[in-house]
Amino acid sequence: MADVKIRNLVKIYPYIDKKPKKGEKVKKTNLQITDKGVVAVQKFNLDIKHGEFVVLVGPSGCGKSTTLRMIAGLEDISEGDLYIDGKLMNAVEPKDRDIAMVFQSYALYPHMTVFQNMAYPLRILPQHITYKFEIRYLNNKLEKIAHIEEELKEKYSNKPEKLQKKLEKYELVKKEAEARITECNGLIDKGEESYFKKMSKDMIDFKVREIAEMLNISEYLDRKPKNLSGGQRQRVAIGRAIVRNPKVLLMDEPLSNLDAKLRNQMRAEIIKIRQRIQTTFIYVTHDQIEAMTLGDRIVVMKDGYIQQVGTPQEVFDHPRNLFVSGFIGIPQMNYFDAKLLKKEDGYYVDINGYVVKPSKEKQERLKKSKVEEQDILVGVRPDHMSITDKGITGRVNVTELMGTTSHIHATVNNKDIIAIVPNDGVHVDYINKDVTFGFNGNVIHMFSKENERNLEFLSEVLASEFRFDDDLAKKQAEHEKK
Amino acid sequence: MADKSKLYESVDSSESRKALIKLIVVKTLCYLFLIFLTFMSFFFFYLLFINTTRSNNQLQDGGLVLIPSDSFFENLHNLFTSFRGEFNAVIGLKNSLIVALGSSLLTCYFSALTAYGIWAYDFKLKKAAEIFILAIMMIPSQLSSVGFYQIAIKYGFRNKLWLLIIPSIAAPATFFYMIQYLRSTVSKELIEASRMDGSNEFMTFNRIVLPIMKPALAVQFIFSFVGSWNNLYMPSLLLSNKDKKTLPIMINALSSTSWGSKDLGCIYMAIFLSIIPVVIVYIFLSRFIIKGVTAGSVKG
Repeated sequence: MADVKIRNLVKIYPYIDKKPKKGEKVKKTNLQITDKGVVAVQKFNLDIKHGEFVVLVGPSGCGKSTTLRMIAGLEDISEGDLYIDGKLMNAVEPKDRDIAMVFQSYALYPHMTVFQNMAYPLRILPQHITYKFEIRYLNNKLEKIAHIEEELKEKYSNKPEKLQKKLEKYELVKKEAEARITECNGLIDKGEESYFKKMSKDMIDFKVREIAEMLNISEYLDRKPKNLSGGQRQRVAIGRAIVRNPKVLLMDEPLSNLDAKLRNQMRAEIIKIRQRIQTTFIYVTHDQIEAMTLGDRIVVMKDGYIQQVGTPQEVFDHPRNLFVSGFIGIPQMNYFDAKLLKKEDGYYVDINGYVVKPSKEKQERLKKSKVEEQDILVGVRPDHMSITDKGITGRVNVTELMGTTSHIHATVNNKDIIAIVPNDGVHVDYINKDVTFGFNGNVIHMFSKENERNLEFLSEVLASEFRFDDDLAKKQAEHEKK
Repeated sequence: MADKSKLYESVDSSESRKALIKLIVVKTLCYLFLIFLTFMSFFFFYLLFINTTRSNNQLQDGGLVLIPSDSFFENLHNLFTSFRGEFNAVIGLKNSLIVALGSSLLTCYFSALTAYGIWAYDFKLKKAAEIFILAIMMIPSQLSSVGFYQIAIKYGFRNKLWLLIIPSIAAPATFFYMIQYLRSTVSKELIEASRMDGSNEFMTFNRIVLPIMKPALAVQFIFSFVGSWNNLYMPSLLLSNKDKKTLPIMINALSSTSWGSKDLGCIYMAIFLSIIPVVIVYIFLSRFIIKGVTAGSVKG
């Protein structure tokens, strides 16, 4: 386990093939194209705590994978600093960062069996071996010896001399193992956790089998990856990553190659794995359901900028801008043109004559941000819309029966909206009829038309501009001096 | 019932019969052509074998004979006794094997290494480097051999077998095949995974990339082995010492003796002996060839 600190991380891909000539200006079609090159990640700042599960989420091309690859060391860092466990990692080789990664394509070695795939990282580098693990390993060894001894006793029951000779051999091994167990226990009592050494062959074998059992792939250890299904391959890839107890486990869209059913299954599996191993997780996905269900915190990104950092609940309930509100939540949020009115008893939202008073908390936040009367966009999630007498009227085009609910697609003021209404046994045919939708003041999200920010949090620092004011670099320099 | 008879009628209609006949004709032609090709490739081996069984006199009388004669062992005996000066099978075989094995191993390993380097890493002038290597393919080896020969003479490197082995490190055609193979079958995530797992760059190449490239290596090994085995030009320029001669030089010496002392049976016998190792190599690696040829085109 380790914490990860990311400070002002920037990734610029310089122009290689089409270098702009001197004096010629680059066509800046979006924020990421600059004179220096294409900026994939712009001043990324994040603190990830010990054992936290952070999910980077965003549409393709938002820089989430690039950020992950910079943390992994597969991509050079153009600017900024990366600290893992308090150590500056900018110039450290991937293999020395003590991290592991699960790739989208699994990246299993096709010529090796599952066992060899999982044992590969253990074979080539020394590992942090915890004393607890060693005790488990030694106990397993003692069990095996006891088993062999019993077999020998049966085999040589009428030749006691030979039996004695054979048993003597094992006696020595047993004594050694027992002595080591007491030694390990003593070290654990002293508060020591692990030591750094290359694992022996037997130990690797035990470790791989232990992890394989955890992931339910023990039966496939002798198979080659091509003889496995997608889900099994995914498990092997995860197994290869966690077999060496990495401080940080990076996952780059690990479930996107699986079909929908398997994806759900593996998502639950990852949650289970997370409970069993103590590691910091950084997970990249474009699927917001994965982000919501897996993450302790979600980092929403777009065009290389961080849009919002927060718990899934926070991001869902209080999206800081229009993009986040639209990106998180299925089906997408509905938007209405509206006017924000400031009256003596508080703020009101007027949507074409339908006036809603925001909830008390929202009122306070608006007041705190000193929001003036203005034209705004109001966002309401489809789940929060209901069919009422008073509200916004629209014509229903399509209804989709989902089982317990129905999705109603309607047109309001030339804008398509979706409302989710419960099926309570009474079937009503809404198609081609005018229906009035209403909602409460505590579920509306108010966005500025000018800068697309959530008006409630206007006084807050933008997530993309948020900077930590710690002196990590200075501390690092002091540490190196010592 | 009426419906069924209609169905049969439609199947039996003249149009479908015509299509069937056409198919049969086309297939027959195809197979005839293939049989002809197979015959052509085996016929000359057979002819070679027949000629090894015929005596010098029979051969000099000429004519195409397809039935084996009885001089096989006589030719074998003659080859090893009366032509000791020109032909020494043991030394020739040994030298040829050293050169062919050494050069094809080096060719395969270093071409794969070069291809991997250019494929896996991003560096300046990467494209230029690739084009430069491919451009070397255009230069005929005879042209570069002039300079090579001069260097060899100048520094007294004649009659050294390694002189024939070392230059094979640079094999542009093999490199081209290898890089195409890498591009089509190996994913770069595999390299990255290996790096994350803790292997250094050479380990990644030797333990991960080389085993995956086995089919390509086998194909190129056969090609370069056969090429080196049959090579007469460079060895005959550089090797003059009796103990250093390779098989092709010896066979060449046999056939260039004066007409009176020439024994055609022995020459055919020598050629026959010299192709045996190539056939063995081919048998062992041929299963990889089929894999290698198809693996590049279709992603498995």
